[in-house]
Amino acid sequence: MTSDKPRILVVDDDPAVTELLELKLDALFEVRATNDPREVQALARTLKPQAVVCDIDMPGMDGGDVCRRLSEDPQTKHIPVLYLTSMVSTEEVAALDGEVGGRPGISKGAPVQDIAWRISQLIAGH
Amino acid sequence: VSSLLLRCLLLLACCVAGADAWAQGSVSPSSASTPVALDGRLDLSGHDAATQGTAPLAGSWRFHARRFIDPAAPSPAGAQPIAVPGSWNDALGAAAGWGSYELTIDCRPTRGLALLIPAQHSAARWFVNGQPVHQQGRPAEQAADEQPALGTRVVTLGSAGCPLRLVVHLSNHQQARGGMVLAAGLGDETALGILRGRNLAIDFGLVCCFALLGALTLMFHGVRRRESAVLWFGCFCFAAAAYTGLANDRFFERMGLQLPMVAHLRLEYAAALLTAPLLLMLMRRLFPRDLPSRAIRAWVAASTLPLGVLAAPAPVFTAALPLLQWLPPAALAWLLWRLLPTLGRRRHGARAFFAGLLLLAVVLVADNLRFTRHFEWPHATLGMLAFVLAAAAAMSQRLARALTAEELRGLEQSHRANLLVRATKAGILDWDVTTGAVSYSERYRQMLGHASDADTSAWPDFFAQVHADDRETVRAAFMAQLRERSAHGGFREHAPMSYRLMRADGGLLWVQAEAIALVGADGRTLRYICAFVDITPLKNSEQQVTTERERLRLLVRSTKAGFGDWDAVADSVSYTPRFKEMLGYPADFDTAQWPSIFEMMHADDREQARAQFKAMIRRKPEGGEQEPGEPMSYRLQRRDGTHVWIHAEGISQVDEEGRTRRFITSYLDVTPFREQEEALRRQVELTRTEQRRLDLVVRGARVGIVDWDGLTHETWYSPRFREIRGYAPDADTAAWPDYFKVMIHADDRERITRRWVAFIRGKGPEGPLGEFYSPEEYRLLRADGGHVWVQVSGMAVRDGQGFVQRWIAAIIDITERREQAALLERQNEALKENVRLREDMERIGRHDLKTPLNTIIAVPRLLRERNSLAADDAELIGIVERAGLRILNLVNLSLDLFRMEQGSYGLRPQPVDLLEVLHTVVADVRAHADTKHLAIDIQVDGRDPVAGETVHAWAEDLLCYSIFANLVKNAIEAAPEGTCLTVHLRCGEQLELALHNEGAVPEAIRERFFDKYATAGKSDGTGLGTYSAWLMARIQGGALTMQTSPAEGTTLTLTLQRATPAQARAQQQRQSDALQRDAASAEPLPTWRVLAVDDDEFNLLVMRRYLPSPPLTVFTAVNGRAALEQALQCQPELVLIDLDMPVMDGLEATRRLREQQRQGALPAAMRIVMLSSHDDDATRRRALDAGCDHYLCKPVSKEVLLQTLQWAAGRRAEPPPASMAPRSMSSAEATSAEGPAGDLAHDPADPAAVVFDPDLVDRMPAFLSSRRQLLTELEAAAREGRGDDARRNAHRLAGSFSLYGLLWAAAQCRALEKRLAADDVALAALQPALDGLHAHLAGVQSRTAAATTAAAGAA
Repeated sequence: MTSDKPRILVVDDDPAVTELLELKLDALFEVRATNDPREVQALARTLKPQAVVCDIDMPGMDGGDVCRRLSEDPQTKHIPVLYLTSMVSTEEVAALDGEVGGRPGISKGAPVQDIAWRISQLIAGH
Repeated sequence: VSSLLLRCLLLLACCVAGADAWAQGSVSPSSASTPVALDGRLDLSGHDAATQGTAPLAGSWRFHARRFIDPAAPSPAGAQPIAVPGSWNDALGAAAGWGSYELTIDCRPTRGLALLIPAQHSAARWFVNGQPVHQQGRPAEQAADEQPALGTRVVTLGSAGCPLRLVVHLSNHQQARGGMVLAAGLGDETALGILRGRNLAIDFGLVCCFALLGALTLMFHGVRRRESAVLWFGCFCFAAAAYTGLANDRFFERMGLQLPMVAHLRLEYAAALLTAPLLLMLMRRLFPRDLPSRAIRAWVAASTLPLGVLAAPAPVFTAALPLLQWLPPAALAWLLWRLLPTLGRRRHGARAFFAGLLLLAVVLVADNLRFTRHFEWPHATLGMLAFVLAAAAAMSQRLARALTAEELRGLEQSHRANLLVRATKAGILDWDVTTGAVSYSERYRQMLGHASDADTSAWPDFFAQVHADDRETVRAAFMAQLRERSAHGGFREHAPMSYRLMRADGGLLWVQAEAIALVGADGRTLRYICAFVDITPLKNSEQQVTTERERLRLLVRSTKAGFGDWDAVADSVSYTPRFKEMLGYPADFDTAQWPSIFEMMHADDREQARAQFKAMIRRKPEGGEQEPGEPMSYRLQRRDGTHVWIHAEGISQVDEEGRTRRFITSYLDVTPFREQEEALRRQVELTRTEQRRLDLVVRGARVGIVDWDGLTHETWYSPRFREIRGYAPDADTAAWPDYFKVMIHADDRERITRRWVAFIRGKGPEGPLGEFYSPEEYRLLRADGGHVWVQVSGMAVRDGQGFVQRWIAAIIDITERREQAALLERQNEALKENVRLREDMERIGRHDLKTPLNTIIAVPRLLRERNSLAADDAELIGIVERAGLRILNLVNLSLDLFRMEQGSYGLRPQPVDLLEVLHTVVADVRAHADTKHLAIDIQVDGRDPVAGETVHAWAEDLLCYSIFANLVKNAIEAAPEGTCLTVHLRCGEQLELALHNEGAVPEAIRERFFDKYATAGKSDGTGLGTYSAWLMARIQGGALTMQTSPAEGTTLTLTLQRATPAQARAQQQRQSDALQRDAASAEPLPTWRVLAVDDDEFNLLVMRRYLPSPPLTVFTAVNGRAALEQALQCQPELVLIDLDMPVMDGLEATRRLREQQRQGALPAAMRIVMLSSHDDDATRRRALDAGCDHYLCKPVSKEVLLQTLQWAAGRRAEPPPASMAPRSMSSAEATSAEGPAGDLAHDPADPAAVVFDPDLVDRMPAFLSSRRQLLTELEAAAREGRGDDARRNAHRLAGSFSLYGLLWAAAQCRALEKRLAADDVALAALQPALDGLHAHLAGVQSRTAAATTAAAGAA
């Protein structure tokens, strides 16, 4: 399936989250999702997404590990990663200047439009 | 000997005299026989030259004065006779200066005649028979042309025949007296030659004799300068030799000395005259005691006077000499005269001298007599010879004697020296330069470690014995000494030297060498004697001293201390460079001008230091080595004015009597130490203060301290701790058992030990490096076997590895506190009971009273609406309704008052028309006022109010009504009958309402008029009325005051905030809108089935009456369960359900209904509205969560009910407000600011609100069920203690809820996650939150279902 829309990979251990994002972001992006963070590396290589939207607190492998694995692989290290997390509230992320743990991040509490806008910014930035 | 010599001399003198006589006689005796010339003619015909010898040509010659005649021509006239020999001055006076002599000799013609021409001092030409035979100089007529000369010549006449005519041209301008002063001789040529040779030989012998003697004596003087007599003698000899060579036969001339005549004369006379002063000098040296030096000098001067005359021109000195020549004989005569006495004293050689002098004098006198004629002293040489011989004899005799004496003296000295050499301790080296022999004294040999009689002849050079290091120095010094020639004769002492000599055994010998050299007159060293003194011990000790000094110097330099050295005797101090530097001066600073050290000290230290110093230099009990004094510390002023701290230690050097001679001080700059010390001292002071403070704290505190040392495992217990455990404060704790094992109560021991071990290991909640141990409570065992409750908080000191090194715990006895806590617990229980009671009261007030009141109020209304009652009955019913409303108001008011007092009353001000309220109140109390015949007068700003006039206050309607009603009723009661009540409304910035009546407030309660429960005169008064009025005025931002007096009556003044005109207008607008709405509500109702659920049948009745049927069909149920059954049967579109019901309450029933609805058992469009007498937000949220669409607060008016119906049917945008009365009398008022609470719209003020995305409606059921699943898992995990799983579930829930818009649930889950992350996994604690979430989800689900259906319906 090909389209003009930028392709993004959504990673969250909770299917409810990935479902929602697939539904809500479908208008703007070609959304691929996985609930297993260990697959991310392989998926990123094959799908070549333009951005990865990733949860932080996941069982087995957390967001930091995902990021590190991506950045260590020459094929995937250029892909920007957006942390999507409920660990911080919208206000806290704003106070942190839109960054979580030194990377672009956004709270799960933010409106979906904000999340979409943030992803397109990230892709445009690259 | 002398007499013999004298005799010899006399004999010699006689011989000389004899010889002279003979020499005279050799001419004179013949003159007697030889003829004499007469008038220019001499007849020698009878004279035989060969036999008779030479014939003198003397007699009367012819003289041609001032005329050189021609020798060849005959004799011219004018000649005059002249005596020869003789001076022409005798005949002619001074005019004669030149002229011609003429003589004719008649002789026997014979061969071999010769003329003997005497030594004439003139120029002459000799002619014989006209032939020139001899020229002597060049005679001339003028003095300038003349060249005089000396001449003694034998002129052979050769063949000249007899008679001989002799012409002599003669000129003599130089001499005072001239002419032919000597007569020539004519004789045999051979005889004349012999005579002349004899004379020359005699002269030669004499000259040689004199010269030799002179040379010898001068040479002798050359080597022995001291003998000046020898010098003068030599000079005398040379003078005599010179005269002898110049005079008589002119020996020097014959030897080649050709001089002009005058020079020759001067020299000749000088030599002769010089002998006299030389003689005088000689005699003076020889007889210094006999000849006074002054006289000698006078005679010397006198005898040299003729010498001076010789410098004059020849005529002058030749004229003067005949007189002056007598001075030398006079000197000699004086000498003889002076020496005459010496003869008697038999002085050595005096006689010989005397004799020689005498002879010389005799000869001189004789010669002087002859000089005037012949101008020479022909015999003086003989006199000189005599004197020279005599003098030589005498002097050699003297010399021999002197030498003998010297030899003896030398011998004696040699003996003495040998004795000394042997006796002295010094070794002697004696080098005889002349022979080159070196001799070493015995002592010297011993010094060098040889035998005293060792043979030194084979010894090497002296320098070989000198140590190699010193050798070159010594050699150079020695050579310098030899080269030095300053001394002449005698001794030369050399500066002593010290150097090392090599001993025979290879050792070293330090010697002090002192040398003396004997030097000759020329300065040359003749002998070199050196004395060596062994100074090895001295040198060694000197070496030691030097080493010691060097060491000391190094020590002084190496130390950082400066030194001062005070010489007590001289009172002078010297400081080392280091000390000067210490004070900021250059190291070479001259400290002579420095004041005493005390002047340099800081003024604070000066006196003490001075006293201490004085004590130190005080006279010591005994001499010898002293101990150093006490160290001193003081400040010294530096050059720049700052001070430096000095640590000074001194030691005094004392003499035998203990007096201080010298005081040496060492100064150490201790400023840094002092500063550190000061800092330390302050630190210590601080620490001590801190320590004391801490002690006080520990002592004074009610806290016991336990201090455990992790390294030694020693534990210290504070006295208070001991007390806590029931021991004496000073009990011995050494034997106390282990704290954890024994001291803690058995029930707590394990828990506390585990907790503490975790803390120590860094595994407690404090973290690996946590210092503070969070307080813990447990029991400690007491001495009496009981226990004490303590709270322990502690602090650990950890090292780098986190290991606890020290542990300090503060222990508080909390037995009392725990007892108090228990008491508090009990009190709390009681309080809770009270609260419960109060809540019960409230419940009674709200629910139990208000529910029946609804009926009481509603039923009369329904009755009246039937219009089937008689007018009286209707009136009565109206009274019932009003009374019911009043009771309701009272109940509500009491609740509001309670809230006001608690400060929890939520004021909702709005513009209130005070006039309207006032009119209402007045209408209400009119009947009461009429009974007392009271008039009520209302005025606005001092006038009657106009119809329709409004005065708006910013207040609450009901509160205003209550205040006014209360105040007016009280006023009516208080006013005397028939009086007038005045209500005066003033509209300023604030509204002011003054209520006046004639009665006065009783004195007793005036002060506490507004107090709660203050009442007077009323048997049924609660005392709440005035208080509540005052409270309400306050709560609305106003005030209520009272003024009363018997004369003036009572005036109560109420002030209230005035509403702004804009607010007033808005209020009017709202009212008109409400009227329109009410009009709109009149539109037909839908034909719905409505299910009313209430456990109160009256309420059901009222509801049934309010809901018009038809068009509605109303079903009822008395509890939740009945409602479920009924709903399933009747399939209602609207359910109105009560909250508090028996069997099954409204919330549960709602959930079940929603459940049924989801299952399709009930109409999808079914709306549920909850009615309840609770008017708090919590209940409202619970209702909405349970699935209600709207919530209404009881009592509910008919209008509200109908409006709700309209809203549910979709004919009205907003539902009526949830809360109606009690706050608002006017049911029509809706708080437009309040949003539609039950809507699915997002309301930030509502925590339970949910934001629904239309896109997600389809997914919501699945989502919600999955969330419920997760929630259950979370619950299970929490129950089983799997904190991490629980936390993860909470996290997942939080994230998804956020995304799906369930914000309240998301927040709840996040809070839950945090608690789980902090290991707070107690399910019991989580349960309320989990239940809340479950309920919320259920509510959301039911609402979602409704929304979904609605959407589907709309579609």
